[in-house]
Amino acid sequence: MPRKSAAASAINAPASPSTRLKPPAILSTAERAVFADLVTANDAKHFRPSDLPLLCTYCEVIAMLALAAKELRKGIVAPDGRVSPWLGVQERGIKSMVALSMRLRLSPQARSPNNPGPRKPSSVYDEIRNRDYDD
Amino acid sequence: MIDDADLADVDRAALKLAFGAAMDRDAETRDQLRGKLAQGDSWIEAAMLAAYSMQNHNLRLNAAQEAPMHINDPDETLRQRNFRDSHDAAKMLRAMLALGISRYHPDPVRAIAAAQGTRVG
Repeated sequence: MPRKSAAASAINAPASPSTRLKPPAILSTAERAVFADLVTANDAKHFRPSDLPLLCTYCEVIAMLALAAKELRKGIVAPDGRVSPWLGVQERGIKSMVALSMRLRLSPQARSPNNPGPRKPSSVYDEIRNRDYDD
Repeated sequence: MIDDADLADVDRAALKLAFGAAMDRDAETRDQLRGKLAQGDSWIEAAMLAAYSMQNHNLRLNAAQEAPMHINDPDETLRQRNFRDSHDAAKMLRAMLALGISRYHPDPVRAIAAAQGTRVG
């Protein structure tokens, strides 16, 4: 019998509005905590099983950023005068977090509706402005 | 306020046309016009409201744009540098008057096209 993938293992039942995703076993303790918080803080229908890879990556990034912040609190500049490498980790992590939060619709900007509505037709004046109506 | 006797024949005809068109347009406009007549306004006053409503609708005017019927003197308006939206109305009114079309005509573009023997797209 073929092994179930981690993604398949995370799903205990066929997708339904009441089924929330479960964190796969490959995530660390810290990453699973981020996963659980995210999934329970959002509507049950927000995440689909196909979102799992994206969601797992987002949780990994969040956990990594937490670690980077903890290390940077010890000091941005190391005793040898070099800038802490965690600064670069934090910078790259933030970029990833922003991009992933948009894709997962987890940021206020991503959640705002994108329906500009029908374009208002231009007036007749706008259409004929260059015509000559003079007598 | 304009008296019926002061109206030129072409303006009277246009106001009657505008009133009829507005009454046919939708229930809200119909109720508004009936309300004006019920409160004692003259038919001319109701018809002028109808003409404005129809010009606004047919020309797809936005809130900043004037209807041709509200331009007093198109040549004077065009001499003024400001208010381009009034210039558009003034040009249209000047064309209407030059073709013998009433300033109160509810559909200026079609009236101009008909007078010029052209078709509206």
